[in-house]
Amino acid sequence: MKISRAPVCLGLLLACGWASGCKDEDEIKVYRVSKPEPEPQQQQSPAPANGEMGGMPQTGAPASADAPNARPSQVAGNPPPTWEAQPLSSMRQASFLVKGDNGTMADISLVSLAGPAGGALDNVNRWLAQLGRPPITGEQLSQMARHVPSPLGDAMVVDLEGLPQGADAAKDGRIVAGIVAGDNRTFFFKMRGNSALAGSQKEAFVRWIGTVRMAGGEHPHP
Amino acid sequence: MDRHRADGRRGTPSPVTAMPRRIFDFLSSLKLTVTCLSLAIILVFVGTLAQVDSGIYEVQRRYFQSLVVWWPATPGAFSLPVFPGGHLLGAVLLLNLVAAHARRFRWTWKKFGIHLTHAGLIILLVGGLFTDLFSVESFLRLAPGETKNYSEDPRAVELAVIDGSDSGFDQVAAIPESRLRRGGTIGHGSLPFRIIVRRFYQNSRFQPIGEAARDAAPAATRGPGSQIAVFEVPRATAMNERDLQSAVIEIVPASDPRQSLGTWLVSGQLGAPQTVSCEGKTWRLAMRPARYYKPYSLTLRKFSHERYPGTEIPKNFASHAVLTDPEHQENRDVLISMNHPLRYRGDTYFQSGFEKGDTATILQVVYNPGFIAPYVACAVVGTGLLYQFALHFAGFLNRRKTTP
Repeated sequence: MKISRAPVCLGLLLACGWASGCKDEDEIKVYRVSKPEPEPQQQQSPAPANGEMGGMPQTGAPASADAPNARPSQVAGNPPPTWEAQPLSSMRQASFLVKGDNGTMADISLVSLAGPAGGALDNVNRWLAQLGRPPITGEQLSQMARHVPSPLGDAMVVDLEGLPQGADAAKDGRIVAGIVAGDNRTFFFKMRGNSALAGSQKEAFVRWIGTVRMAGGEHPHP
Repeated sequence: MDRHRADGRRGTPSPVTAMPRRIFDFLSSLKLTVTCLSLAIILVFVGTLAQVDSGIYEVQRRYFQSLVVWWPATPGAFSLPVFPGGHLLGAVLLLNLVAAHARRFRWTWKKFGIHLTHAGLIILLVGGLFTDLFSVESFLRLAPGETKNYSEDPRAVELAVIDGSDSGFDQVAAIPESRLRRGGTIGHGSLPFRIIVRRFYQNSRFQPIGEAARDAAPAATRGPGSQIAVFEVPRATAMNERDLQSAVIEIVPASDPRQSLGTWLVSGQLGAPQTVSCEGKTWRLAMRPARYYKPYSLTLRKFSHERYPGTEIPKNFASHAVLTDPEHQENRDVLISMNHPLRYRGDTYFQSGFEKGDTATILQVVYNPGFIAPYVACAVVGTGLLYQFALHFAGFLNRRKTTP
């Protein structure tokens, strides 16, 4: 054995250190990619003549950050004609207002978030808190929930009642909501408003949930 | 030292050679082997327990793919090195093996099998380190008829700043998650503005500002973030969960850093990209899964999913795709199914899963330049052991023959 082998081992140690450090994960990559071709569904999807979209425009160009209300929806459905379509916001894929007698009203929305978005129980308890009600357990949720098939997946529908302190009973007192957990995205259907009005619109709301799909037949994916 | 005398070296070493010799003695000592193996056992044990709280991917990164394990004495601010990490232990064990082998190496056919076995172990260790450092795992999701020339990492994001002003192509500056996490100011020659990371959320939840608590503030001043409150939530640790990373960024022109264009919330949770205008041009901002572009593309023709009769248990699922590579003039049908991956240009495509209703196939894409090392190592170790066994067996037979 010769002592000159020691520098070889030290060299190996340095090489290991170099190898550990040479993977630069912080590097900004700049590259060119061909523009994606427009999807066939988008090209061949004129707005249905029967007003199927109900105020929810079909998929289109990316939303402008400075014009959130002009954001096109990525979903389509068959809402009842009595629901007034509202401008979409950056969070809302669909937005309606339904008006009843004596100034009563209910706000209807569809919001989609990536991932489980907190899960069904947490969100139901959040809605209960909005109505001034105590939280429930998972077992209680499974007893009170109703399941409705929809093109987006199985929708779990809950009906929650309660009037928070100081709230206007003409505009609050009940939340009927549906949650669809997709593969990568969770859809929240929510109707909140006057208790009697929300109750009268409940079946129409549930039927609407059963018709909502991704525009152009696209599968839900972030 | 006794060992030196046993190795045949005698006399007092000169001061010049004394230090290298001590280092060499240390590196080739059996004590170092035992110490490293003991530390590795502790590391594996502690790392396994840590998966309960931190999840497998975070534990891999912190305990096994690091030189040292850091303990956050003050979370988010100050950390202390408390234990050698997997890379350090592996590197020292490798050096120890090489040094010990070099020290005791004597060329003789009788020990040829032992030498081969050690060489195989060295290949295995080096290959393991190489794989750990340079392999990339990602996923490719394809719906029927869809074509993609990139795969995505579902656990890491990138902020893509896209210049779409050319009619033929998009120029993309992709800022990796690690850079966003580090915070500070990000600039690049291809961008006329700088990005200041105001806050990075490793895992986040959104609430519309109307539904959030009264004191909740909008996350940003421009874009959808002006209507959203963001909350940091604990990291996802389960295998079927993933973090939803978000960041609040401020954009300032490079020519006049004092003039802010506003703050934006960027996140994969916001479906469509946002836009920012600077110096007469418009860029798109998209926080998306980190992408790995390929010089070829795959188009899914059909996805088939067979189940055992009367059950939902998968029997077989397969992706019928078309591989197109203009550089190599390839345009052919390929079949990727369970246990039959596609290997092409260093990438291996495994049939990994599918989406509900068989609406899309999910392929795992593995780039591992060191994939051959374990096979070579096993062959070399096997040959060495076989040789050594055969040698001993032959000796045994000879002894039996000569014994009356």
